[in-house]
Amino acid sequence: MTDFAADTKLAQQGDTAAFARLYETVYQDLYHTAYYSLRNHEHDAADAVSETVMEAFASIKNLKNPEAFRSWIFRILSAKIKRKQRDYYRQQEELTAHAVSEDFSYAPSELREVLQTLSDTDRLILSLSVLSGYTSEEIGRICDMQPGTVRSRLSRMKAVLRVQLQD
Amino acid sequence: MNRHDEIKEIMQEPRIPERLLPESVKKTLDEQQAERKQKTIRHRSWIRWTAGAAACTIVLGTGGYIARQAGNGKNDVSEADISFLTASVGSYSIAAENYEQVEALMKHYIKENTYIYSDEEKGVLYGEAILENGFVEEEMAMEAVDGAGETSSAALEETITTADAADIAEAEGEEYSETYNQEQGVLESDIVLTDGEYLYCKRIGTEYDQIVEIVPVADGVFGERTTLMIGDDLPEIVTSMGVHSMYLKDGRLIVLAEGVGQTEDASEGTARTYVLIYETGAEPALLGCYSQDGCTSDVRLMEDGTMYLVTNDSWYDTYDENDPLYCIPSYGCDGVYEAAAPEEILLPAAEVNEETAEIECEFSDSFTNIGSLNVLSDTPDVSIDFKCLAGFSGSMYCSIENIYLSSSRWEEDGQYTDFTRLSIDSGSIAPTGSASVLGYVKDQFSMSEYNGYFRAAVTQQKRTETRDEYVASMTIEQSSAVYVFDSNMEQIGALEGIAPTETIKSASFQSDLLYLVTYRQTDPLFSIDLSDPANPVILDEYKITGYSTYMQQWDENLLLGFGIDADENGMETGLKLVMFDNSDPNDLIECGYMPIYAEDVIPERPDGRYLYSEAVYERKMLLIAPEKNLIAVPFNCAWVHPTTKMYITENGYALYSYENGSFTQLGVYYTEDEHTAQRSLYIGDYAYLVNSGGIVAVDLMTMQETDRITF
Repeated sequence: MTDFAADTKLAQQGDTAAFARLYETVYQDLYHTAYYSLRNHEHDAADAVSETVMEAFASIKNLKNPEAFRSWIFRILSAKIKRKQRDYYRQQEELTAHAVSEDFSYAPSELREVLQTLSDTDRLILSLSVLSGYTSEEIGRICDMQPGTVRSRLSRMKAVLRVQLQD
Repeated sequence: MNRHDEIKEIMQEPRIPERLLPESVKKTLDEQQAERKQKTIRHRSWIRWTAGAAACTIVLGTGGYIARQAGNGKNDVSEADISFLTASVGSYSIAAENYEQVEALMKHYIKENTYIYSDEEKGVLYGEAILENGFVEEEMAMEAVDGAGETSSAALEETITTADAADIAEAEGEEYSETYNQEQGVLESDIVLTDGEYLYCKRIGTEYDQIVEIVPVADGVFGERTTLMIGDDLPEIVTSMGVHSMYLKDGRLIVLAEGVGQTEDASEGTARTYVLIYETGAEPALLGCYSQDGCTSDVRLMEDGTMYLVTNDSWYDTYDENDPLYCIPSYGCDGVYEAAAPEEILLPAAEVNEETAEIECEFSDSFTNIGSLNVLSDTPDVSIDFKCLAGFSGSMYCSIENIYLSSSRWEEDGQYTDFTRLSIDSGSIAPTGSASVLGYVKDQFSMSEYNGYFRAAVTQQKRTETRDEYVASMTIEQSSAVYVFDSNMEQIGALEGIAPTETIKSASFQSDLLYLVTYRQTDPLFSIDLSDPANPVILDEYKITGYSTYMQQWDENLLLGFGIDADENGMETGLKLVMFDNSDPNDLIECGYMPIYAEDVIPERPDGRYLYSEAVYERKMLLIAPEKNLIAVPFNCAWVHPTTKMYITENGYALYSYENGSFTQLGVYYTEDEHTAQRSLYIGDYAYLVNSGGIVAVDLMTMQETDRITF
């Protein structure tokens, strides 16, 4: 378990080991969020996380509430992801889906395919919801979106994926 | 296995690249540290966006602090001296004495919250990311967006007695539906309205945002429509303009619009809300235009024509150090604006921090402006009163006598809500009290005033840190609570720990009773007795699957709920209508349940359907008319095209009636494709189903479509 308060204080004084301990609590989710949101581009995902880390370390002095470390660093990541998404040529704005079986339930392989059809924004929202368990209000803050928009996008995805997501 | 976990597993598959492992990152950071050890960097505060749109608590120093700052020579501290706030310690808000005090607060805020990058840092340290976007702007945008969210999602629940359900029957002509108001006599605005002769519809979509369509109707048949271009009637050039909502009252059409008002040379713009007052009819005549700075937060209209307009006005992005007073909120009519006088600007509450002896106050990058006017008077666009408060406001509740503004604030142990009460009387606005609770209100319906008591239902997350030498862990306990405040805004009653782990989905205060829906997997409906304000008591708890996002009293004995249906595992399956017999609040009984699934609204499309309704987030989209025995639910239903495999959306309304313990589906009507559902209403025996692409008229006797208009 990480002592966020103590480590944040140390990291704020420039202690890289303490910062690395904080980072250790989130880096997998950071990478997986970036990886999925950036359409499985390994390098872009790794770049996004690495830029996020550098920026976070440089600015952690101003993180007043250590408990907010996680949403704070995700906020930075989200800005990076959105920047990179803009660079991608093909934007899928609307939800599309592959054929679904009669009883409207996906086999695991189908689910994997359907996940790949989501739009960029939906990917980011879904990964924040699933990987980090954020509420739509929190996702709204992280992604600069109205909580209502997050909720309606989540409910559409929820319906398409036949999955229960927290909103 | 649950799909949620399955998706999570898929997402967690990719292997983490070597260079992102904590030890590699530490190494990179160590190398970078060495490179730039000579640099001294001041950072702007990042806490603001971790704290969201809440007013950020800043610590404003007294003498000692200022003296220390003076040492660096960077700021003209004498101008940022806020020691005058000592006078407002213990007070929720007193008026400023002069503009210099306001300026000092702004300067202090900027000093605390601005990070100035050197050119070197711009290139080296942060890359382009922060600077190109400009976090300052992002924050502004976020506040605006959050505000919009509050407004649009404000809704889902209701408070009333049956009496105010229908102020409908006009002396002459046919009865027609009106926007449902939380409090009788406190009117709420809407985007589709009728006076029995015309339908007034705000259009939706970037290019249509400034249009109100006026469509004459008689017996289910549309006449020639008139398009009202609101932008043409504004007293100045306004960019990014859009209609917010409207009122129809005593022969007048009142349109609220927001946009960026430009100066004559178009060099500068100010976000403003405009109130345009027209005579109603096929060709509305403009009577006047009032406006005040800021984006619309909420608005109320009293029966006598007094309107109270609340706007959120961020000063930070227009701040000019050479002309600090430029961003003082202004208001006026017909394009002539006057800055708020110092006595109209309320200073933030302050308190002395016991540990540091410094003065602390809350001041943020935005003001909340509250203006009043009488839109039914001979001078409908002339300001009556204006007050400006520090900070951003969220959901607002308004009774006949008081406005209650809520604003969120994040502290270490969770999210708090501050309530500010302003008494209102014939247009005059005066702050009269404030209170603070742990937790957040869902929307206006989570607040209520009755017999002089203010009640608020909140969802709370208590964060507690436990410490064991080096190791600390955080636990979050979630539950709901109801608080009662007396006329001095002192908390006198509390009921805490309701429904642990669950979230408030809807609330309905009815006199001394509160009906509360919380949710995690099932939907407990609580009835809570508030007749002894000091001792709120739970009377009954009724559990069903799914949850109601909105409740409205149907008749004397029946409470209607609309919301999400779910199975016993909490898997959401569709929408539902549910009726409760609440004639005895000690014993709630379910007496009617109607699941609404995709197959109910598009039976002819067998594959891959899913259903949702925007009304889950916007209660005004539901038509609930017990006097007509009519309920209209807007839906979006998508299905997979068999060859293209693309999702195709069908939009429409499903109409229901209720009788003897059961709901009946009267009919399903598709509106224009790919257009957002808006509102439905009725005039006489015809229902009018409006979406952003047109209107469908339905004869309520035969349930047949009688006419259709496409915008």
